[in-house]
Amino acid sequence: MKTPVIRIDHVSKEYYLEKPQNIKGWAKRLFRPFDTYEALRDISLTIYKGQFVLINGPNGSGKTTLLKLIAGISEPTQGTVRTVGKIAPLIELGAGFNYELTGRENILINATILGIPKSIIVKRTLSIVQFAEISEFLDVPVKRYSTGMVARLAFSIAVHSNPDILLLDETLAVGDKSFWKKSINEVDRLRRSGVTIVWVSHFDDYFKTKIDKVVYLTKAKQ
Amino acid sequence: MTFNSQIYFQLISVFARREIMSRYRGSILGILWIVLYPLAVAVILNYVFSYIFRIPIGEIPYFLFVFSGLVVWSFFEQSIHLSKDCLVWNRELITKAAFPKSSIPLSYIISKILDLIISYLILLGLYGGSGFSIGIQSICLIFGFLPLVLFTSGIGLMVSMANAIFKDIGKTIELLLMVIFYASPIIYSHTSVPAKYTVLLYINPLSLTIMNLRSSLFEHVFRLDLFLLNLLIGAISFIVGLYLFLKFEKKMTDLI
Repeated sequence: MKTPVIRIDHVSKEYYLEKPQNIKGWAKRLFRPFDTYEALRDISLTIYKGQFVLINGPNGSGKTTLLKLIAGISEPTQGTVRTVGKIAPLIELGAGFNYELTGRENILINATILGIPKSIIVKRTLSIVQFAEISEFLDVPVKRYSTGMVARLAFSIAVHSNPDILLLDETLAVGDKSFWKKSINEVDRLRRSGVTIVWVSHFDDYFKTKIDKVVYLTKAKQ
Repeated sequence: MTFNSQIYFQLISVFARREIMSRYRGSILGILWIVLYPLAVAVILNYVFSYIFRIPIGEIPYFLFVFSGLVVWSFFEQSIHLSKDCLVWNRELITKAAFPKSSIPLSYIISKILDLIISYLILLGLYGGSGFSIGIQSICLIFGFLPLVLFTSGIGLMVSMANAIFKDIGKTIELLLMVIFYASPIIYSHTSVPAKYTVLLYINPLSLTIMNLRSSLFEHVFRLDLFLLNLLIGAISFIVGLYLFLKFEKKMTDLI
Protein backbone atom coordinates (compact mmCIF):
# COMPACT_ATOMS: atom_id res chain seq x y z
CA MET A 1 0.00 0.00 0.00
CA LYS A 2 1.39 3.34 -1.02
CA THR A 3 0.30 6.26 1.14
CA PRO A 4 0.96 9.71 -0.25
CA VAL A 5 2.54 11.93 2.42
CA ILE A 6 3.47 14.91 0.28
CA ARG A 7 1.19 16.09 -2.47
CA ILE A 8 2.27 19.08 -4.53
CA ASP A 9 -0.34 20.22 -7.00
CA HIS A 10 0.44 22.73 -9.79
CA VAL A 11 2.57 24.83 -7.51
CA SER A 12 4.20 28.10 -8.56
CA LYS A 13 6.17 30.40 -6.30
CA GLU A 14 7.08 33.99 -6.95
CA TYR A 15 9.38 36.09 -4.81
CA TYR A 16 9.59 39.86 -4.74
CA LEU A 17 12.92 40.87 -6.19
CA GLU A 18 12.91 44.10 -4.30
CA LYS A 19 10.69 44.21 -1.35
CA PRO A 20 8.81 47.49 -1.02
CA GLN A 21 10.53 49.15 1.92
CA ASN A 22 8.22 52.04 2.67
CA ILE A 23 4.66 53.20 2.40
CA LYS A 24 5.40 55.18 -0.75
CA GLY A 25 6.68 52.01 -2.35
CA TRP A 26 3.51 50.19 -1.38
CA ALA A 27 1.35 52.99 -2.76
CA LYS A 28 3.17 52.85 -6.07
CA ARG A 29 2.63 49.15 -6.17
CA LEU A 30 -1.05 49.73 -6.71
CA PHE A 31 -0.20 51.09 -10.14
CA ARG A 32 2.96 49.23 -11.05
CA PRO A 33 3.44 45.82 -9.49
CA PHE A 34 6.95 45.09 -8.27
CA ASP A 35 9.23 42.92 -10.25
CA THR A 36 8.86 39.36 -9.19
CA TYR A 37 11.06 36.36 -9.69
CA GLU A 38 9.44 33.09 -10.48
CA ALA A 39 11.32 30.52 -8.45
CA LEU A 40 9.06 27.58 -9.32
CA ARG A 41 6.60 27.15 -12.16
CA ASP A 42 3.79 24.64 -12.22
CA ILE A 43 5.32 21.81 -10.20
CA SER A 44 3.27 18.72 -9.46
CA LEU A 45 4.73 15.93 -7.43
CA THR A 46 3.53 13.16 -5.15
CA ILE A 47 5.83 11.54 -2.62
CA TYR A 48 4.79 8.36 -0.82
CA LYS A 49 5.49 7.19 2.69
CA GLY A 50 8.98 5.81 3.13
CA GLN A 51 10.30 7.04 -0.18
CA PHE A 52 13.77 8.46 -0.56
CA VAL A 53 13.59 11.36 -2.97
CA LEU A 54 16.53 13.25 -4.37
CA ILE A 55 16.02 16.78 -5.62
CA ASN A 56 18.65 17.77 -8.09
CA GLY A 57 19.31 20.73 -10.33
CA PRO A 58 21.63 23.68 -10.88
CA ASN A 59 21.98 26.60 -8.48
CA GLY A 60 18.96 28.87 -8.58
CA SER A 61 16.58 26.26 -9.93
CA GLY A 62 14.36 26.43 -6.85
CA LYS A 63 15.44 23.41 -4.81
CA THR A 64 15.45 25.19 -1.47
CA THR A 65 12.21 26.97 -2.36
CA LEU A 66 10.58 23.61 -2.94
CA LEU A 67 11.80 22.37 0.46
CA LYS A 68 10.47 25.51 2.16
CA LEU A 69 7.08 24.98 0.57
CA ILE A 70 6.96 21.36 1.72
CA ALA A 71 8.04 22.42 5.23
CA GLY A 72 5.28 25.04 5.33
CA ILE A 73 7.76 27.85 5.93
CA SER A 74 6.41 29.80 2.99
CA GLU A 75 3.23 29.55 0.97
CA PRO A 76 2.92 28.86 -2.74
CA THR A 77 1.75 31.73 -4.93
CA GLN A 78 -0.39 29.28 -6.82
CA GLY A 79 -1.39 25.67 -6.28
CA THR A 80 -1.50 23.63 -3.09
CA VAL A 81 0.93 21.70 -0.92
CA ARG A 82 -0.46 19.05 1.38
CA THR A 83 1.56 16.99 3.82
CA VAL A 84 0.83 14.28 6.36
CA GLY A 85 2.88 13.79 9.51
CA LYS A 86 5.60 15.58 11.39
CA ILE A 87 8.22 17.33 9.31
CA ALA A 88 11.79 18.05 10.38
CA PRO A 89 13.28 20.54 7.96
CA LEU A 90 17.04 21.06 7.91
CA ILE A 91 17.20 24.02 5.57
CA GLU A 92 20.29 25.50 7.08
CA LEU A 93 22.29 23.91 9.83
CA GLY A 94 22.26 25.98 12.96
CA ALA A 95 19.58 28.43 11.87
CA GLY A 96 18.01 29.67 15.03
CA PHE A 97 20.94 28.83 17.26
CA ASN A 98 21.59 31.52 19.80
CA TYR A 99 25.37 31.76 19.99
CA GLU A 100 25.39 33.29 23.48
CA LEU A 101 23.54 30.31 24.93
CA THR A 102 24.95 26.87 25.68
CA GLY A 103 24.52 23.70 23.67
CA ARG A 104 22.01 22.38 26.19
CA GLU A 105 19.89 25.53 26.00
CA ASN A 106 20.02 25.52 22.21
CA ILE A 107 18.97 21.88 22.10
CA LEU A 108 15.89 22.81 24.11
CA ILE A 109 15.04 25.73 21.79
CA ASN A 110 15.65 23.92 18.51
CA ALA A 111 13.94 20.73 19.55
CA THR A 112 10.91 22.75 20.69
CA ILE A 113 10.74 24.37 17.27
CA LEU A 114 10.67 20.85 15.84
CA GLY A 115 7.70 20.14 18.09
CA ILE A 116 9.13 17.85 20.75
CA PRO A 117 7.71 18.05 24.31
CA LYS A 118 10.19 19.19 26.94
CA SER A 119 10.19 15.95 28.95
CA ILE A 120 11.28 14.03 25.87
CA ILE A 121 13.93 16.60 24.97
CA VAL A 122 15.48 16.27 28.42
CA LYS A 123 15.56 12.49 28.02
CA ARG A 124 17.15 12.66 24.58
CA THR A 125 19.70 15.38 25.26
CA LEU A 126 22.41 12.88 26.10
CA SER A 127 22.00 10.84 22.94
CA ILE A 128 21.79 14.02 20.86
CA VAL A 129 25.19 15.24 22.08
CA GLN A 130 26.70 11.77 21.91
CA PHE A 131 25.68 11.44 18.29
CA ALA A 132 27.00 14.95 17.56
CA GLU A 133 30.24 14.05 19.39
CA ILE A 134 30.14 17.20 21.53
CA SER A 135 29.38 15.68 24.95
CA GLU A 136 32.08 17.68 26.72
CA PHE A 137 30.78 20.95 25.22
CA LEU A 138 27.17 20.53 26.32
CA ASP A 139 27.29 23.46 28.76
CA VAL A 140 29.60 25.69 26.72
CA PRO A 141 28.16 28.65 24.76
CA VAL A 142 27.70 27.79 21.09
CA LYS A 143 29.86 30.77 20.08
CA ARG A 144 32.85 28.68 21.24
CA TYR A 145 31.91 25.82 18.90
CA SER A 146 33.59 25.18 15.57
CA THR A 147 31.49 25.29 12.40
CA GLY A 148 31.58 21.51 12.23
CA MET A 149 30.35 21.16 15.80
CA VAL A 150 27.40 23.48 15.17
CA ALA A 151 26.50 21.52 12.04
CA ARG A 152 26.74 18.17 13.80
CA LEU A 153 24.58 19.37 16.68
CA ALA A 154 21.88 20.75 14.36
CA PHE A 155 21.80 17.54 12.32
CA SER A 156 21.68 15.43 15.45
CA ILE A 157 18.71 17.38 16.86
CA ALA A 158 16.78 16.94 13.61
CA VAL A 159 17.28 13.18 13.37
CA HIS A 160 16.41 12.77 17.04
CA SER A 161 13.07 14.55 16.60
CA ASN A 162 11.26 11.40 15.39
CA PRO A 163 10.09 12.98 12.14
CA ASP A 164 7.75 11.36 9.63
CA ILE A 165 9.34 13.44 6.90
CA LEU A 166 12.94 14.59 6.96
CA LEU A 167 13.89 17.43 4.63
CA LEU A 168 17.60 17.87 4.06
CA ASP A 169 19.04 20.79 2.18
CA GLU A 170 22.64 20.52 1.00
CA THR A 171 23.68 20.49 4.60
CA LEU A 172 25.33 17.16 5.07
CA ALA A 173 28.46 18.25 3.24
CA VAL A 174 29.62 20.25 6.25
CA GLY A 175 31.05 17.65 8.59
CA ASP A 176 34.21 15.68 8.03
CA LYS A 177 34.34 12.34 6.28
CA SER A 178 33.62 10.20 9.32
CA PHE A 179 30.67 12.30 10.42
CA TRP A 180 29.36 12.34 6.87
CA LYS A 181 29.42 8.52 6.87
CA LYS A 182 27.68 8.43 10.22
CA SER A 183 25.01 10.86 9.02
CA ILE A 184 24.42 8.89 5.87
CA ASN A 185 24.03 5.71 7.93
CA GLU A 186 21.57 7.48 10.21
CA VAL A 187 19.54 8.75 7.27
CA ASP A 188 19.52 5.25 5.86
CA ARG A 189 18.38 3.81 9.19
CA LEU A 190 15.52 6.33 9.33
CA ARG A 191 14.58 5.47 5.76
CA ARG A 192 14.37 1.77 6.59
CA SER A 193 12.18 2.57 9.59
CA GLY A 194 9.66 4.21 7.28
CA VAL A 195 10.66 7.87 7.39
CA THR A 196 10.14 9.76 4.14
CA ILE A 197 13.28 11.59 3.11
CA VAL A 198 13.60 14.46 0.70
CA TRP A 199 17.18 15.23 0.02
CA VAL A 200 18.58 18.14 -1.96
CA SER A 201 22.00 17.41 -3.32
CA HIS A 202 24.30 17.63 -6.30
CA PHE A 203 25.82 14.33 -5.35
CA ASP A 204 23.92 11.09 -5.59
CA ASP A 205 26.75 8.55 -5.56
CA TYR A 206 26.14 7.32 -2.03
CA PHE A 207 22.56 6.43 -2.54
CA LYS A 208 22.34 5.56 -6.19
CA THR A 209 20.83 2.19 -5.38
CA LYS A 210 18.49 3.41 -2.68
CA ILE A 211 16.87 6.44 -4.27
CA ASP A 212 13.24 5.86 -5.21
CA LYS A 213 12.71 9.05 -7.15
CA VAL A 214 14.80 11.83 -8.60
CA VAL A 215 13.27 15.25 -9.14
CA TYR A 216 15.32 17.29 -11.54
CA LEU A 217 14.62 20.99 -11.55
CA THR A 218 15.79 23.10 -14.45
CA LYS A 219 16.25 26.81 -14.73
CA ALA A 220 13.49 28.19 -16.92
CA LYS A 221 13.51 31.47 -18.79
CA GLN A 222 11.80 34.27 -16.90
CA MET B 1 2.43 21.37 10.19
CA THR B 2 0.14 21.31 13.17
CA PHE B 3 1.34 22.53 16.52
CA ASN B 4 -0.61 21.59 19.60
CA SER B 5 -1.08 24.02 22.45
CA GLN B 6 1.39 22.23 24.69
CA ILE B 7 4.19 22.81 22.20
CA TYR B 8 2.97 26.37 21.61
CA PHE B 9 3.28 27.29 25.28
CA GLN B 10 6.58 25.46 25.46
CA LEU B 11 7.81 27.60 22.54
CA ILE B 12 6.78 30.79 24.32
CA SER B 13 8.43 29.76 27.57
CA VAL B 14 11.62 28.59 25.86
CA PHE B 15 11.90 31.83 23.87
CA ALA B 16 11.14 33.93 26.95
CA ARG B 17 13.84 32.12 28.92
CA ARG B 18 16.22 32.61 26.02
CA GLU B 19 15.45 36.33 25.98
CA ILE B 20 15.95 36.76 29.73
CA MET B 21 19.13 34.71 29.78
CA SER B 22 20.76 36.28 26.75
CA ARG B 23 19.80 39.80 27.83
CA TYR B 24 22.07 39.66 30.84
CA ARG B 25 24.60 37.06 29.73
CA GLY B 26 28.11 38.46 29.57
CA SER B 27 27.42 41.27 32.03
CA ILE B 28 29.08 40.88 35.41
CA LEU B 29 26.03 41.68 37.52
CA GLY B 30 23.90 39.47 35.28
CA ILE B 31 20.35 38.80 36.37
CA LEU B 32 20.77 41.25 39.29
CA TRP B 33 20.12 44.04 36.79
CA ILE B 34 16.43 43.13 36.82
CA VAL B 35 16.33 44.38 40.44
CA LEU B 36 19.08 47.01 40.29
CA TYR B 37 17.68 48.95 37.36
CA PRO B 38 14.24 49.85 38.76
CA LEU B 39 15.79 50.38 42.20
CA ALA B 40 18.24 52.89 40.70
CA VAL B 41 15.35 54.62 38.91
CA ALA B 42 13.52 54.97 42.23
CA VAL B 43 16.60 56.36 43.97
CA ILE B 44 17.13 58.92 41.21
CA LEU B 45 13.47 59.94 41.29
CA ASN B 46 13.64 60.29 45.05
CA TYR B 47 16.59 62.68 44.88
CA VAL B 48 15.19 64.71 42.02
CA PHE B 49 11.73 65.14 43.50
CA SER B 50 12.60 65.46 47.19
CA TYR B 51 15.47 67.92 46.88
CA ILE B 52 15.32 69.64 43.51
CA PHE B 53 11.74 69.70 42.23
CA ARG B 54 9.28 69.83 45.06
CA ILE B 55 5.81 69.07 43.86
CA PRO B 56 3.29 68.71 46.68
CA ILE B 57 0.78 65.95 45.95
CA GLY B 58 -0.94 65.14 49.22
CA GLU B 59 0.76 62.97 51.78
CA ILE B 60 2.30 60.53 49.32
CA PRO B 61 5.92 61.39 48.47
CA TYR B 62 5.94 62.51 44.86
CA PHE B 63 8.72 60.10 43.86
CA LEU B 64 6.59 57.15 44.94
CA PHE B 65 3.70 58.62 43.02
CA VAL B 66 5.79 58.88 39.83
CA PHE B 67 7.42 55.51 40.40
CA SER B 68 4.00 53.86 40.64
CA GLY B 69 3.18 55.23 37.18
CA LEU B 70 6.56 54.25 35.79
CA VAL B 71 6.16 50.62 36.89
CA VAL B 72 3.24 50.32 34.46
CA TRP B 73 4.73 52.57 31.80
CA SER B 74 8.13 50.82 31.67
CA PHE B 75 6.50 47.45 31.11
CA PHE B 76 4.46 48.80 28.23
CA GLU B 77 7.23 50.85 26.66
CA GLN B 78 9.92 48.18 26.87
CA SER B 79 7.55 45.48 25.59
CA ILE B 80 6.61 47.57 22.57
CA HIS B 81 10.26 48.33 21.85
CA LEU B 82 11.13 44.64 21.95
CA SER B 83 8.09 43.66 19.84
CA LYS B 84 8.99 46.22 17.23
CA ASP B 85 12.30 44.56 16.42
CA CYS B 86 11.85 40.98 17.55
CA LEU B 87 10.79 39.51 14.20
CA VAL B 88 13.67 41.22 12.41
CA TRP B 89 16.12 39.88 15.01
CA ASN B 90 14.79 36.38 14.44
CA ARG B 91 14.75 36.56 10.65
CA GLU B 92 16.99 33.49 10.27
CA LEU B 93 14.63 31.41 12.33
CA ILE B 94 11.52 32.72 10.62
CA THR B 95 12.76 32.02 7.10
CA LYS B 96 14.28 28.64 7.90
CA ALA B 97 12.05 26.91 10.42
CA ALA B 98 8.36 26.09 10.54
CA PHE B 99 6.63 27.06 13.79
CA PRO B 100 3.94 29.53 14.91
CA LYS B 101 5.66 32.89 14.61
CA SER B 102 3.31 34.65 17.04
CA SER B 103 5.25 32.88 19.79
CA ILE B 104 8.16 35.26 19.16
CA PRO B 105 6.60 38.65 20.07
CA LEU B 106 4.51 37.03 22.82
CA SER B 107 7.60 35.50 24.42
CA TYR B 108 9.39 38.86 24.49
CA ILE B 109 6.39 40.44 26.21
CA ILE B 110 6.08 37.56 28.68
CA SER B 111 9.77 37.93 29.50
CA LYS B 112 9.00 41.50 30.60
CA ILE B 113 6.41 40.35 33.15
CA LEU B 114 9.30 39.35 35.41
CA ASP B 115 10.57 42.95 35.34
CA LEU B 116 7.04 44.25 35.95
CA ILE B 117 6.55 42.10 39.06
CA ILE B 118 9.98 42.93 40.45
CA SER B 119 9.57 46.68 40.03
CA TYR B 120 6.09 46.42 41.56
CA LEU B 121 7.54 44.59 44.58
CA ILE B 122 10.19 47.32 44.87
CA LEU B 123 7.40 49.90 44.84
CA LEU B 124 5.60 48.01 47.63
CA GLY B 125 8.84 47.83 49.60
CA LEU B 126 9.53 51.55 49.26
CA TYR B 127 5.95 52.44 50.12
CA GLY B 128 5.93 50.21 53.19
CA GLY B 129 9.43 51.44 54.08
CA SER B 130 8.17 55.03 54.02
CA GLY B 131 5.85 54.20 56.91
CA PHE B 132 2.60 53.61 55.02
CA SER B 133 0.48 50.52 55.48
CA ILE B 134 0.04 48.10 52.60
CA GLY B 135 -3.46 46.66 52.19
CA ILE B 136 -4.54 43.32 50.81
CA GLN B 137 -5.73 45.29 47.74
CA SER B 138 -2.12 45.75 46.71
CA ILE B 139 -1.64 42.01 46.52
CA CYS B 140 -4.77 41.76 44.34
CA LEU B 141 -3.07 44.12 41.96
CA ILE B 142 -0.89 41.30 40.65
CA PHE B 143 -4.12 40.22 38.91
CA GLY B 144 -4.80 43.86 38.07
CA PHE B 145 -1.88 43.63 35.67
CA LEU B 146 -3.60 40.95 33.56
CA PRO B 147 -5.50 43.47 31.37
CA LEU B 148 -2.28 45.44 30.91
CA VAL B 149 -0.47 42.30 29.72
CA LEU B 150 -3.32 41.43 27.32
CA PHE B 151 -3.41 44.95 25.93
CA THR B 152 0.38 45.10 25.52
CA SER B 153 0.39 41.68 23.81
CA GLY B 154 -2.25 42.75 21.32
CA ILE B 155 -0.44 45.96 20.44
CA GLY B 156 2.91 44.13 20.43
CA LEU B 157 1.66 41.54 17.94
CA MET B 158 0.44 44.26 15.57
CA VAL B 159 3.58 46.37 15.94
CA SER B 160 5.93 43.42 15.36
CA MET B 161 4.16 42.41 12.16
CA ALA B 162 3.85 45.99 10.88
CA ASN B 163 7.51 46.78 11.50
CA ALA B 164 8.68 43.56 9.83
CA ILE B 165 6.91 44.65 6.64
CA PHE B 166 7.14 48.46 6.75
CA LYS B 167 10.32 49.84 8.25
CA ASP B 168 8.70 53.28 8.63
CA ILE B 169 6.58 51.95 11.44
CA GLY B 170 9.59 51.95 13.77
CA LYS B 171 9.94 55.73 13.94
CA THR B 172 6.19 56.27 14.06
CA ILE B 173 6.00 54.02 17.10
CA GLU B 174 8.65 56.07 18.93
CA LEU B 175 6.58 59.22 18.43
CA LEU B 176 3.34 57.52 19.40
CA LEU B 177 4.95 56.22 22.58
CA MET B 178 5.85 59.77 23.52
CA VAL B 179 2.26 60.89 22.99
CA ILE B 180 0.93 57.99 25.07
CA PHE B 181 3.41 58.81 27.84
CA TYR B 182 2.05 62.35 28.25
CA ALA B 183 -1.53 61.25 27.68
CA SER B 184 -1.36 58.82 30.62
CA PRO B 185 -1.39 59.95 34.25
CA ILE B 186 2.20 58.91 34.96
CA ILE B 187 3.87 62.10 36.14
CA TYR B 188 0.58 63.81 37.03
CA SER B 189 -2.54 62.73 38.84
CA HIS B 190 -5.68 61.68 36.99
CA THR B 191 -7.57 64.23 39.14
CA SER B 192 -5.71 67.08 37.45
CA VAL B 193 -7.13 66.17 34.03
CA PRO B 194 -9.83 68.65 32.86
CA ALA B 195 -13.33 67.22 32.91
CA LYS B 196 -13.81 67.25 29.14
CA TYR B 197 -10.76 65.00 28.65
CA THR B 198 -11.48 62.45 31.37
CA VAL B 199 -12.97 60.07 28.81
CA LEU B 200 -9.43 59.66 27.48
CA LEU B 201 -8.40 58.21 30.84
CA TYR B 202 -11.07 55.56 30.64
CA ILE B 203 -10.27 54.26 27.16
CA ASN B 204 -6.54 54.01 27.82
CA PRO B 205 -5.54 50.72 29.50
CA LEU B 206 -2.33 52.32 30.78
CA SER B 207 -4.20 55.00 32.69
CA LEU B 208 -6.82 52.48 33.86
CA THR B 209 -4.04 50.28 35.24
CA ILE B 210 -2.23 53.20 36.87
CA MET B 211 -5.44 54.57 38.42
CA ASN B 212 -6.27 51.17 39.84
CA LEU B 213 -2.73 50.71 41.11
CA ARG B 214 -2.74 54.07 42.91
CA SER B 215 -6.20 53.52 44.31
CA SER B 216 -5.26 50.06 45.63
CA LEU B 217 -1.93 51.13 47.05
CA PHE B 218 -2.61 54.63 48.35
CA GLU B 219 -6.30 54.39 49.25
CA HIS B 220 -6.70 50.64 49.84
CA VAL B 221 -9.54 50.40 47.32
CA PHE B 222 -9.33 47.89 44.49
CA ARG B 223 -11.41 49.42 41.70
CA LEU B 224 -13.28 46.46 40.22
CA ASP B 225 -15.09 48.76 37.75
CA LEU B 226 -11.79 50.01 36.32
CA PHE B 227 -10.45 46.46 36.30
CA LEU B 228 -13.38 45.03 34.33
CA LEU B 229 -13.37 47.87 31.79
CA ASN B 230 -9.64 47.41 31.42
CA LEU B 231 -10.04 43.66 30.98
CA LEU B 232 -12.56 44.22 28.21
CA ILE B 233 -10.29 46.63 26.31
CA GLY B 234 -7.31 44.33 26.88
CA ALA B 235 -9.16 41.28 25.59
CA ILE B 236 -10.34 43.11 22.47
CA SER B 237 -6.83 44.37 21.78
CA PHE B 238 -5.39 40.87 22.19
CA ILE B 239 -7.95 39.22 19.91
CA VAL B 240 -7.57 41.86 17.18
CA GLY B 241 -3.77 41.74 17.44
CA LEU B 242 -3.64 37.96 17.22
CA TYR B 243 -6.12 37.87 14.35
CA LEU B 244 -4.13 40.39 12.28
CA PHE B 245 -0.88 38.62 13.06
CA LEU B 246 -2.17 35.22 11.95
CA LYS B 247 -3.62 36.78 8.81
CA PHE B 248 -0.27 38.12 7.63
CA GLU B 249 1.99 35.46 9.18
CA LYS B 250 2.68 33.47 5.99
CA LYS B 251 3.15 36.58 3.82
CA MET B 252 5.63 37.99 6.28
CA THR B 253 8.07 35.10 5.71
CA ASP B 254 8.74 36.36 2.18
CA LEU B 255 8.76 40.05 3.03
CA ILE B 256 10.86 40.26 6.16
